[in-house]
Amino acid sequence: MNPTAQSDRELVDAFLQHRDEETFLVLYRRHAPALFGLIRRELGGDSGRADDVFQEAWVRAVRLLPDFRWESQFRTWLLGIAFNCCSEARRGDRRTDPMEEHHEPAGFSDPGKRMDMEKALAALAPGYRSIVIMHDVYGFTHGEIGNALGINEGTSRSQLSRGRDILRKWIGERT
Amino acid sequence: MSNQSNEYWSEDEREAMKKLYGEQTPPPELESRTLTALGRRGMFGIPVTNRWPRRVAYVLGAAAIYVLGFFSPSVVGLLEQARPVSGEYLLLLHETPESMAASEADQVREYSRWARQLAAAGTLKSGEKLGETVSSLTGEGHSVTVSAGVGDVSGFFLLYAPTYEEAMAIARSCPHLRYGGTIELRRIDHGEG
Repeated sequence: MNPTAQSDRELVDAFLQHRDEETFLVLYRRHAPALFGLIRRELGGDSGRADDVFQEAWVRAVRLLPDFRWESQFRTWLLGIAFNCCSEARRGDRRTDPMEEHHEPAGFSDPGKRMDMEKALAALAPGYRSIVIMHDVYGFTHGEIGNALGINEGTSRSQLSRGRDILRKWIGERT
Repeated sequence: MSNQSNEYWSEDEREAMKKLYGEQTPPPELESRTLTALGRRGMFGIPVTNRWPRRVAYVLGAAAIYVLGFFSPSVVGLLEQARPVSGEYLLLLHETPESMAASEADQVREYSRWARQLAAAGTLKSGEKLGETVSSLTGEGHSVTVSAGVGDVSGFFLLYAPTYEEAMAIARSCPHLRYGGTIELRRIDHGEG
């Protein structure tokens, strides 16, 4: 069968059996754009660091692949690894609680003003942002978020709620 | 998106978020870099050379074996069977105060990129960074004395090139020169004369 027509599970099983680059490349090319887009966005304009984190995410994924139990979709699992790698990369820079680092621009406590979604997400503390994006963009369950970020489901729920509230305050009421 | 997020965000808001986190195609060099990183960690099995053209297998093998450019253990001999013995050249990288003052991270990045290009072209046989300890031996037999030596050679690259002029052209392109270092180019003499 043409490898590009095989499912993720078939490819992963084949790769684990033979460890060949050809099979890995099919998986890589299928999922790399999603990982790259996420990592670039999460790490802002630092393309050099984003490239490093992207590479690290794949290395980690291949290392963890034998333990993947297919309890989620393969891409969801990969994205979870990418989020974790981004979080670790930011942790190296951080000196404060990731949930407290809002950079609310001046004037946006004014209920009459609205911020666009891009600015609001960029300003939101990375810890909240990751959970909002994982849940509301990528469709992670709270269990999957917990597995990826090493937090429990209750924490994921509360931080999602808090992150959404902050974003709502900045972007204005739902239209 | 989950149904719950559908309830919380408007359609425009959801679309804005999805657009921000949309897919982006990574550059081709990131693919080769990722393959190299995985190969360096032994995460691939032996390449299946009977399925691939010999040269492609050689290039990928060289790329996978060359460990992040400059800081890798030697794997000389693994590639020897694929290339002729003659036409090998050694680049010895000599440090200067200027090159030693340069950012090591920048150097590693540039040297790795240069080495990967050579590996992709089938030109690179080996390359290593040398440790700082230098031992100098003199005498013979029971009279060998060992003392701390002084050396300014920080690393080397072993290349294939058809002529001395082409080896020279490769040496000129080595980023070590841009950092103020000097390069000694020597042809490997296999006794052909």
